[in-house]
Amino acid sequence: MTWKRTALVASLASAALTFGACGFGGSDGDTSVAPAPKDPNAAASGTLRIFAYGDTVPDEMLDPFREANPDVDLKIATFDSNKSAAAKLAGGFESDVVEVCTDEMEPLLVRGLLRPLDPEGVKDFDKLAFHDSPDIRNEGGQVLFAPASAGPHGLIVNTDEVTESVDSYQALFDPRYADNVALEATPLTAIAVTALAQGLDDPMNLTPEQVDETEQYLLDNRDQFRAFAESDSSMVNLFKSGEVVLADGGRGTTQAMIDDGVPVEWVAPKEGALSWVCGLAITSKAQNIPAAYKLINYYASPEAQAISAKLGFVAMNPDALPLVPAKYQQTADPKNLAEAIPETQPDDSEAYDRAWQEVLAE
Amino acid sequence: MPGARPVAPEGPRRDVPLSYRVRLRMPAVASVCLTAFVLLVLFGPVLMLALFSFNDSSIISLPWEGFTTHWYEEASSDNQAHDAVLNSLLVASIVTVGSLLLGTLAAWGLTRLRFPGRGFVAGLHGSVLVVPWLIIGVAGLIFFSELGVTLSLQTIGLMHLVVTFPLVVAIISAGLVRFSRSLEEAAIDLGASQLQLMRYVVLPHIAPSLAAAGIFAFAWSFNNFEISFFLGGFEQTFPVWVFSILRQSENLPLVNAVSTVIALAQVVAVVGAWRLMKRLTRNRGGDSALTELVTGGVR
Repeated sequence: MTWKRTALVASLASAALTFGACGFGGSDGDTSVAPAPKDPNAAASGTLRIFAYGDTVPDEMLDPFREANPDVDLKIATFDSNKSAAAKLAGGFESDVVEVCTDEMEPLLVRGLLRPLDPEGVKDFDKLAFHDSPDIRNEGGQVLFAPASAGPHGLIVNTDEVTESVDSYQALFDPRYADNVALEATPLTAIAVTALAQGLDDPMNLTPEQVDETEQYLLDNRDQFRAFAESDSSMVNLFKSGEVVLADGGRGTTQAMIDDGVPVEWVAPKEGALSWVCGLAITSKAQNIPAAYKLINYYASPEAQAISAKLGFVAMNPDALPLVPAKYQQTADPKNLAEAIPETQPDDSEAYDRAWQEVLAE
Repeated sequence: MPGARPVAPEGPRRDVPLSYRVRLRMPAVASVCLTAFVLLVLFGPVLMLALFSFNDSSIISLPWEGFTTHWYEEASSDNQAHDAVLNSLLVASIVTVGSLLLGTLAAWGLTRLRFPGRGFVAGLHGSVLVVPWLIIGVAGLIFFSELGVTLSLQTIGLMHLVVTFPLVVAIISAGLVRFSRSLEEAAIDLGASQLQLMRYVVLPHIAPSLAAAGIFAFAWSFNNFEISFFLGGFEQTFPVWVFSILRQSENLPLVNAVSTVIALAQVVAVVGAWRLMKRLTRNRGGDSALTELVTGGVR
């Protein structure tokens, strides 16, 4: 993912959202709870329109669903961020199912683009990781999406070069590794891991003073960082070339390095790993609710979660683990998410963005 | 005389001092080095990506892990990649023809006719070129949404036409302005109809401009992301597909492989066009006519 390009598109998409809110293409959809099908085993039919991240809807994930539901005609469109998705939906684009993530769903929520789910309509809902998290619910406690994928975000450590045991985000600021450390160039994770390194407890809801404090800490330690990786590819290249021996990052990125022979391991810091959480929601203009529930049930099933695990994600349904090949067991284990701090959109996300821009400008 | 080009003294070559020979060759050597450097900067990254499309690793980085065609095999079996490339080719082809037709007509009107508001119309055409494509994409999305039009390749094509048409107008207008009107008048005096005038006099002379405008229009449409993302429905174009799958680093070699094939096709097309033009100008002045034909289109 090219985060710099995504950040630019997302920023301009935010402007587009503002324009779109000026009475044009605004939501006049239904924001009541989407009724679950009376008979969950009844066959679904018709056209089902999905709007999701590209890596959520590969053919290997959807082919079993197509085989099981031959009367459902899948139409797929992809996006690179929930902000650009919200801009497109607010502008009038319609889909039945949209993928949302806890750290990016605010633009969809405030524009009434989502329709709450009935958890009774999702068979394995209570088994899914984060099913009881308030972050997947609206202010009224209604479930907005069924968690379908997640990825813990911790530390990536080159075990050949970093011989001491590392278990804290504070290692990123250890002078012994100066100029050999990288951070992911996303405002939320960069500010959050720095806040955790400083001992702040709630990295997703920092006060303005805490954001300023974190920004200053990053500026004071700017020389610690060799690079701010703008994509998974960049991070992998930094480790492979030996420029970086320590960074924050996810298990999937770590696995890509291990597969290529780079001696690294992923560590869950004692302050708590962060975790992005994404899932499938029904849009307020959905036209095929029964097929939407069929798809959401499929993604929550052990079979689909096992496929998701092979794609590098955590299996949200623990019943999927026996179906996951040994190579992916460690990455897929939902225990990775135990004690994880879900990445959510801060109330003052602009403060995080501003602080990060100041650091980048240095 | 200071600054004058050194002239080798007369006499057998072995009598010419080395310093003279070096100074004589320096301009040629410098121009070759400069050209090589520019080509390296322009095409080096593309060649590197093409090279790494054969590397047996999902990471685009040295060391070389071994030669493989695995990524090309994966690309050949990826239906989403096929569909995306075909969609982009289809849209770009139609947009090119449409913008050439409409752009030529508009350029003819702007350069040959006098009517009230001509300057305003010309300015309106050019104004689209300075509006960011992202804004055009969002505006188009809202426009079609308000009209209740379902987003599709057609809506993408229509908005691509909006952004490529002004470019074609600008290029063709430049060609028509350079074209001597006395030739048109002479053709009419000799009895040519308007259709014959266009077919035998005007179009051959602005052919280089048409070719240049066509290439730009095709490239702008094929490579466009912002408009294609916002105006696209459930059919992806190539840039949108690339952007969506690059979220995962292991897809980068696949994108490299597809992009290398597309780049190779473009090189083959350009070489083919060059050979065709060379054959066509063989009896009309050879290389000088070919140079005039090519440079006339990009002047």
